[in-house]
Amino acid sequence: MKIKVVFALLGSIIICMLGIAIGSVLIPFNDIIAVIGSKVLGTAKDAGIDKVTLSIIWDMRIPRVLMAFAVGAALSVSGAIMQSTLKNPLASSYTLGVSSGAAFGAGIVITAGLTLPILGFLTLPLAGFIFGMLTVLGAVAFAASMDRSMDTNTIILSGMVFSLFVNAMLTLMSSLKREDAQKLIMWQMGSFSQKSWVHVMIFLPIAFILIFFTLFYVRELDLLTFGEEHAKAAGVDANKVKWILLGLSSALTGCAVSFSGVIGFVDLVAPHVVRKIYGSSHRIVVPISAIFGGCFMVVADLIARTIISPSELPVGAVTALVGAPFFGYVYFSGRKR
Amino acid sequence: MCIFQEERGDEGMLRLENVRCGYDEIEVIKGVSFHVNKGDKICIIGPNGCGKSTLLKAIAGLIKSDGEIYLSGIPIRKMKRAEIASKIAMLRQNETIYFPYTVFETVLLGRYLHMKGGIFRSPSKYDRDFVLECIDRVGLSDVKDRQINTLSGGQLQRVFLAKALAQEPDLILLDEPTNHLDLKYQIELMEYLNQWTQKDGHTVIGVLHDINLAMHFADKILLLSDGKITKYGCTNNFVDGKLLEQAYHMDIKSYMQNSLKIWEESAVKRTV
Amino acid sequence: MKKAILLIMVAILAFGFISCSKTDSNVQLIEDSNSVENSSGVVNTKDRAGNDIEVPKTVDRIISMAPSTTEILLDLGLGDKIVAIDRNAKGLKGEKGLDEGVPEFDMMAPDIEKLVSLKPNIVFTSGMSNLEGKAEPYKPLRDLGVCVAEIPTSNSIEAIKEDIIFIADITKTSEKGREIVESIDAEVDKIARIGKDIKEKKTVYFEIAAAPNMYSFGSGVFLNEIIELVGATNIFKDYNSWINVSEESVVAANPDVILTNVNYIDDPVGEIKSRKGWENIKAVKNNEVYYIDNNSSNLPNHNFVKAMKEIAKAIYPDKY
Repeated sequence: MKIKVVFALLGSIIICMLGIAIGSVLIPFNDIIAVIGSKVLGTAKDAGIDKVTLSIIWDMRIPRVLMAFAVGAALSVSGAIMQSTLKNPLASSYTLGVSSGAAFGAGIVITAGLTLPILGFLTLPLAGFIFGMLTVLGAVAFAASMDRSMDTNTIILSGMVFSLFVNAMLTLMSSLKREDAQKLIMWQMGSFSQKSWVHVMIFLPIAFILIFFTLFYVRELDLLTFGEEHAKAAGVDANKVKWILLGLSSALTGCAVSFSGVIGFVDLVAPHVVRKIYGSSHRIVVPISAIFGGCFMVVADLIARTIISPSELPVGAVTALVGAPFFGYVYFSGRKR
Repeated sequence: MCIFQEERGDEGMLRLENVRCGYDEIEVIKGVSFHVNKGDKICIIGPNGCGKSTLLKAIAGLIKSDGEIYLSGIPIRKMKRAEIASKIAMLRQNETIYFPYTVFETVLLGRYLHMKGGIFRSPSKYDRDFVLECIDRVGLSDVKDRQINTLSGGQLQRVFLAKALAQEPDLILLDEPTNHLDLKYQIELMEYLNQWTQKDGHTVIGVLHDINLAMHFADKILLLSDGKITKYGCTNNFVDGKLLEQAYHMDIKSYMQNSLKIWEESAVKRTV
Repeated sequence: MKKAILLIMVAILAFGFISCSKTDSNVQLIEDSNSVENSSGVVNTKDRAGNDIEVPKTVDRIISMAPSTTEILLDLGLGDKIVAIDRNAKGLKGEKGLDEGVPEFDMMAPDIEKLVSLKPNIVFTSGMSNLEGKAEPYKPLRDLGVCVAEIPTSNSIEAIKEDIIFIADITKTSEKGREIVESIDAEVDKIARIGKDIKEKKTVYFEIAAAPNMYSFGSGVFLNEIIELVGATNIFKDYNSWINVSEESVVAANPDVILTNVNYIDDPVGEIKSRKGWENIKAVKNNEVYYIDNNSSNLPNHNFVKAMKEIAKAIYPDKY
């Protein structure tokens, strides 16, 4: 097991380096290390590298790769939480309507052309996040009011209803303001272009803290997969823990979506693949899902920005195209009886 | 030996006073009162729908109830989930397994309340050793690293039993865990529980479908019917077929002719 | 519940009948006007998209559903004959004879009934950009017998000249049309003469849509032709038509000059200069980022000359 973990860590570093190196311009590894060294540690090794390449590495590639990794990690952990809490291997962090809400919030900002003072460009992600969380809150509160024991199915159905409703409002908004409809669609499809250090500086710590908090609940997650009553009988305060976990998952997804748009599949695929290789204990699954999801996203972004250069595909399209067969292979290959 | 008088004070394991509970406004348990002493092996029997599972869930604090339930003298409505779980463990019918954990990992989850190690709640050496011991006691040591979705029904039940044992409770509740199991496994399971109750203060309350098995295993029987206790007493007092007939609405005696004879004989032996 | 559904269905049917009858009366009107002019003089020809059209003898009620065509019509002196324009051309109202109160329509989803009620002789449509096809919205007009002339977006200066001649011929203003074309030729020659002699060509990045989804173009677009004429090189010339470009590809190409005709944000030049990672591009470092007038660089008509001059001056200020 230890070997597997080390492998995961090493693999992630290599993939990130590749992500930084490959693009419209191929940059050798030592250049990358030199740049990182000079910017982070203050060593003066970057004298030989021309300014444009420096810009590309430090201002574009590295923040982009970091952002992709963080978003991938956040989405995977969120997916893992959802699957266990809702006891459904197909559950996704989007089940509760976070993505619809975030898209709606973004839609409001885009169509109204809002830019709040001080926040500036952060207005969009913030609006997305707030509306995403409101939708989830609405869905869960509604479920709780209908069913005091917060049965899993009630929560899922409630999420669907809210999600569909918010989607309808979004469609209405796009059709009333057609000029902005395209912008909205592009935003929704997910992209890591134009992500700078500012974005990274805000999102990375948030994602890290949320994932860190999740680690406190790994045992509860394990027990919840056996059933709520089972968990309660073992001593878990299931209702309270469920709220917390759903909240963490929604926050992770809400933040990710508000920064990078709606990117699907990672949250579904990554935890399953990790479980197949590393077992189901959440103590391992949560952190390794983060690493694996991060790597997956970096690779998907790499493909998205190189395959039809100089144009870029939306990352969401790549994750679906790559994720679906990959998932099918991993999930079903072991099942031949 | 069947001691029927209630032990007083904290020595009493469990006491129910006029408990009423149910689901969605429908009352299933309509006023049940009884007491359980430490070391008792009790079986609750009765026809389907009489409220056996509901009663167990109320005792475990999984559903709300009117009336009072005292666990070692403390009312459970005042106890937190963790407190209740430190005293009571529950064993139920095999549930659907969504994610494949190994036997060891599953039983380790029984130590949830005891594991305090850091943010991962890492188990201490004592926890791990205890888990291995529980696995050994149910005879699954050779499959401890196998995934539980590859086990047979009987093995799976034993895994959950080991998990319940790992929880180190004072009282284990069984909710028809032996349904769908081979006779061999049914008897094995009850044997393991029997051994467990030999230790001081360990109590078992089980809901069993099979009256034979119930009578074979239990010291006391609680006959439940229509949400009320028809009779509660030592097993040998249940040899009388009339009561059973009333509760099950059928001629039980002739159905259990042979078994009853054996009980009669062993009952004589027991009172001696 | 059933009653409500029934009521709704009846209401829908009723509306259907009402709108249908309106159409009928409109068709009546067209037939009337056609029958007046139907003696002779109807011209059978093809529009710029190759469709067969029948141009009526008298063209004095023109609808233009493309801003570039509207500008051409105005400069051909036909402003007072235009009875409806496209919404995007509303800035032209009140100029060159175009009536202030002329109705506007959405070129993407025009209200066909209203269009027909204006009794046009001819309706000019455009092929718009590659992203959205527009033939469909106007089919009902054709079916009603109205002459619809489609002018797809022209990709080259030559095509633009042909468009102008086409419109001039149809509207019987051929003389004026030729004047316009001749003046285009004159201006282009002036520039081309200087451009030909430029040996060290500067590289140019021309942006038509700003961040985060930047668009530029490759060859097969008249703006590219202009850049080449002026004596410069488009960094994306090896690609075709309009393309969505990534930041990296622009930064890696390190253009000498950056041009933008984005006019929907406040300070397009400032916005480009402020992009992270772009500060090391030659164009940004040397402050060679310029705004080119949107209208003249966007619409494929004779006004491109204005943009051409601006582009020339921006890239080689000392030569032009």
